[in-house]
This record gives sequence, structure tokens and C-alpha cells, in this order.
Amino acid sequence: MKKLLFAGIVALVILLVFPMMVSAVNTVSVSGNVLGYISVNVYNTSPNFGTLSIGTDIIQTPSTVTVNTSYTSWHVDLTSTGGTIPGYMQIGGGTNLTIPFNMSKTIAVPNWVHTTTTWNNFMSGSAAGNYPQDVYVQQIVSPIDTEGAYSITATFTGGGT
Amino acid sequence: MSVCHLTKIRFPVFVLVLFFIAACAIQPAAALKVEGAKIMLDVVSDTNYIFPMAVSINPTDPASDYAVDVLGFGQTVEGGSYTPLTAADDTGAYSARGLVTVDSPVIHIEPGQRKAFNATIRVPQNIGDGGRYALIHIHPAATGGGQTSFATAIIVPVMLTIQNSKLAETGTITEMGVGDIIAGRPITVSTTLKNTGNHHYYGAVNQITVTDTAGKTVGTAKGDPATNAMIPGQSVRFTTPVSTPLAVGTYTIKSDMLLGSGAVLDSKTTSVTVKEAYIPPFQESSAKVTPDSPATLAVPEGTVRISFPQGAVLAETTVAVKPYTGTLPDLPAGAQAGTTSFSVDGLSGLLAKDATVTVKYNNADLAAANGDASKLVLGRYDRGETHWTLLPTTIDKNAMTLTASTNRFSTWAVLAAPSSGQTSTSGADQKAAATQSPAPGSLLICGLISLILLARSARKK
Repeated sequence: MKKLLFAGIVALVILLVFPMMVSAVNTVSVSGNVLGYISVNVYNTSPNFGTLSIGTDIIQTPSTVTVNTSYTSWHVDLTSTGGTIPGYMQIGGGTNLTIPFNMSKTIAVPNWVHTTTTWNNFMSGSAAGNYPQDVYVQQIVSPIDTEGAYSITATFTGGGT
Repeated sequence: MSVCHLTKIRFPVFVLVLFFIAACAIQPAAALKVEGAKIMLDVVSDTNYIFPMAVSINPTDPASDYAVDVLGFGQTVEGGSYTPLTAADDTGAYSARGLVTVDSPVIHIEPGQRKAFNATIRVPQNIGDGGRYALIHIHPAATGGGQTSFATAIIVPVMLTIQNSKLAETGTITEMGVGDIIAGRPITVSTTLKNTGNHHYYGAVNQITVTDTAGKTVGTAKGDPATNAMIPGQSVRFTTPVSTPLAVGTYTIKSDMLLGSGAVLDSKTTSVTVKEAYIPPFQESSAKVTPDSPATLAVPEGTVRISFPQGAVLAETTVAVKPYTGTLPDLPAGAQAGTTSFSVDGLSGLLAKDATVTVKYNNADLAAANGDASKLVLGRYDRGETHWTLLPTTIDKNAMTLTASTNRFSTWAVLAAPSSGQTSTSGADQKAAATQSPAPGSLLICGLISLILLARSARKK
């Protein structure tokens, strides 16, 4: 019995003094060629409709999104939110325009996309490099919309795949 | 006339009444660079991994705060994009969200500065088999300030493979559907695959086989391999176009979801009934056009034929025609689009001599005109002026063709115009066609000439 008690005390001391002996967590610093990169730049970050009137206002001068990456497979998704409802220009208090905010990658034959849901793979690629993409915005105002200062933020989220 | 001009004419009162205060805040360039933006590691139990990362912005950018959030690894069903999951939604068995920490949840960066930090991955004992997944979302801590503002963010996928563990790369088709079968449009087969294994895989591909009632294969198609990884527990829809001619009848469509190695993950079949012979979209075709000789650009299926006379172009150029599969720009009031649409590329300016465009219309085009072929016209969308022009069109009902002359190319469509009786409907001996959308100026001139002629005629009498 004494021997058992002694062994237990010794084990406890070892545990207290040398915890690493029974819980040897290794630490590995990852190094080497791990620092691949991706950068997402937007020029003309604040396209402005100015005073909107009922009908259609189109920003003719595009903003440009540029992806520069070392990854061989990458993508950029687009989400927009003006407040609580995705894809609608909104006043701080919560009132939103009745028609969604639209975006298009071309103005030649516009293919306006409602931004109420994420625009997946707004850009994508299968090679490293530098990739510019024009982007146009459009907001149509309905006669039932109320006067106010509306705003929206579109976020381009890039990443390697 | 631009849309804006139209607007001002149609709603003069509202323009004055309804206005918006534009917030004219000057926004900085939104530029974000992340190094170490993809963490793919083979890991072992009971080990910590220190993964170096860095965030930087341009010298022209203002000082900014970026939030660094560790979240669950989700995927969108459409496209399979990586999307962050909150803790409440990240309930899968293969989450690495709890294993990953970063030095600081917010990083402050001065203009042009690069800030290095570490992501620490703590792999516990007895972690089990397969992979573990999380996303690190690096985004502006605050956005906005303008009427419309753009921001940038980076998502860093964290994909850990547990070494010497049993990897299961399996999948189940949870849903399969076939889109409408419309002549001139590809048939789309949508297959939703769920990763039911414990490890991710790349390059999943949807292979479609169409068989008739006798079991004979009448068509096959293979989609593009997925570029995004499929994460355990996530579902992604694969949409594969099928373009094979189908006679009236019933067909079995089989979807095989394959790994890049060719191994079959799962298969599913469904049957479809073709009530009207299906004609697939035509193949993209091109032709070289030179100034010194006439040239013809025709697609193998005979759907589109463009004849260029000698001297139509001033320099040698290659012209291509391909099916237009996007959404057509807003059509003129009252016009209906059929299913035949295409774009012609390679010519940037006007032709020196008109080309002749002949398009074979199909029953779906005819249906858009309620069966009245005389209402069909060729519509050309002029990109520069952003409007449709309904061209004077000659119809050959026997050959089911529409013919028009044009000095420019862009996006084209077979349209059912609201007004009828303005096109020739003869057979082989085509008569001159009337103009579908005469310019108001030319109408005025014609009217004036008619009045003058009438007046002269009256005087003579």
C-alpha cells in the first residue's frame, strides 16, 4: 500500500513539474513558399448618381476592379448591402428603394444583375496574373420611392480556391 | 435617344418632386492585399502550427482598420463559392473554426504599410479522420460614407488534412432536374451534389448521357470541372448544357458525378419527353473577310448565313458568329423575342457595303408571333446607341428564313414585332421588304414629297 501511495506521489510530482512530458504539444512554424498572395483593388470607389430622378440613371464611367494574384485558381464574389436588406439602397433609418441596385460588367450590352444575392464568381481565373474588370452600377427609382439620402456598399471579396 | 432622355420626357413632374441628396464623400481607393491567403496543410494530432500571414494597403490609401474573423467554411449551392458561416450555422463535424486563432481580431494599417501576423492552428489529440475546414475573413472594420461605395475583402480558406487518417471522398446527388427544352437553346441539366465524405475534393464534374427508349445513347455532355473544392457537408449545383438534336419521343437522362480521377461519386437518372423536335444552338463559326472578294459566313447548321459583297470591308478581318445565351437587352415596346439570337463579332465600324443576313427561324420563334410569320423581323441591338433597330426584313415562309441588309453588326435576335404586313411573305421570289421601324425623319420626307407630287398633279389637271 505504501509503495502504491509512493508511486502515486511520484507520478503527481512528475506531472506537476514536467507537464510537457505527458502533453508534448509540438509547435511547427510553417515556412517555405506559403506566402502566396491575392490583392483586390477598386478604383473610383465612390461612383455617385448625384440627384436621382424617376427612371434610369446609369453610371457611364465604370469603376475598375483589379485582381493581382499568385494563385492559379482564384475568384471574386460581389455582395452589396445598404443596411438590413441586401441589394437595396437604403436610408440610415431603414427605408429602402423599391427597386434593387444593379451592377453590370459591360455597358455595350448591359446585363444588369440584381445584387440582392451574392454575385458568385463575379471574376474568376485559373492562372496567376493581373486581371482588370470594369463594373457599372445602375439604380432605377420608382414613383413611390420617398425622398432621402440613400446609400449602399458593394464589397468585392477575393480569395484563392 | 437615351433612356435618361426618355425618362425626362415621361416623368417631368416627378423629376422636380423627387430628388435625392447625394452624399459626395470622397472615398479612398479600396485596395487590400493578403499574403498567405490560402492555408492548406497536412497536420498531425497534438501539434500547433504557426502560419505566417500579412495584410497591406497601397501608399495612396488612408489608414484603415481591418477585421480578421475566423468563421465556418460554407459554400453557395450556385457556383460553390466559399462563404463564411457564423458559429450558429457552423455545426458540421469537420469544422476547424475552433482550431484557428489569429493574433488580433482587428489590424490597423497606415498608408502603404504591411502588417504581418500569424494564424495559429491548434490540432488536438485524437482529432479523428479526414479534413477540417474554416475561413478567415479579412474585411474593412467599417465601410460606407458615400452614396455608393465599394469595399474589398479577402477570404482565406483553411483546409487541413489529418495525416495518416482514413480519408473518405464520397458524394450523393440530392437533386437532379432538366430545364425547358427550347429550340435554339441548350438543354440544361442541373445536378446537386453533396459531399458526404470527410475530406474535400477538387475537380468534380458532371457527365450527362442521353438515351432513347431502346437504350441507345443519342447524346452526351460533360460540364467543366469544378474549380472550387467541395467541402464535407456542403452541396453544390452543377449545371451542364446538353446540345444534341432530339426527335419527338421520351428520353432518359443520366447524370454521373465524377471525381477528377474518373471515379463515380453517384449517379441519377430522370426521363424527359420531347414534344417537338429539338434543334440545338448552332456552333460558333468564323470567316475571313477581305476587301477584294465577296465572302460568306455560315454556320454548319444553316441557321445563320451572312454574305459580304466585295468591298464591304476596307481591311482583312475575321468575323465570328455565335449563339447569344445571355439575357437580351430590353426589347422595344410590344416586341417579343423568339429563341433565335446571336452575336456577330470582329467588325468594329460600319461596313462600306451592306451585308446580307439570312436567319432560319424555328417554331419557337413563330410561337412568339402567335404563329403569324409575317410579324417576324430581324432585330439588331446597336451597342453604341443602346437600342434595338427592327430591320426591314424579307420572309421566305417556305424556307422559314428571314433576310435583312445591314451595315453593322452586334447582337441579333428574331423578334415578333407588334405591327404586321410590312414584310414580304412570298416564297422564293422575295419582294422588297418594307421598313419595320422607319425613322420619323424619313416618314416626314416621304410625306412632303407625296404632298408636292399630289399638288403638281392637281395643278396639271
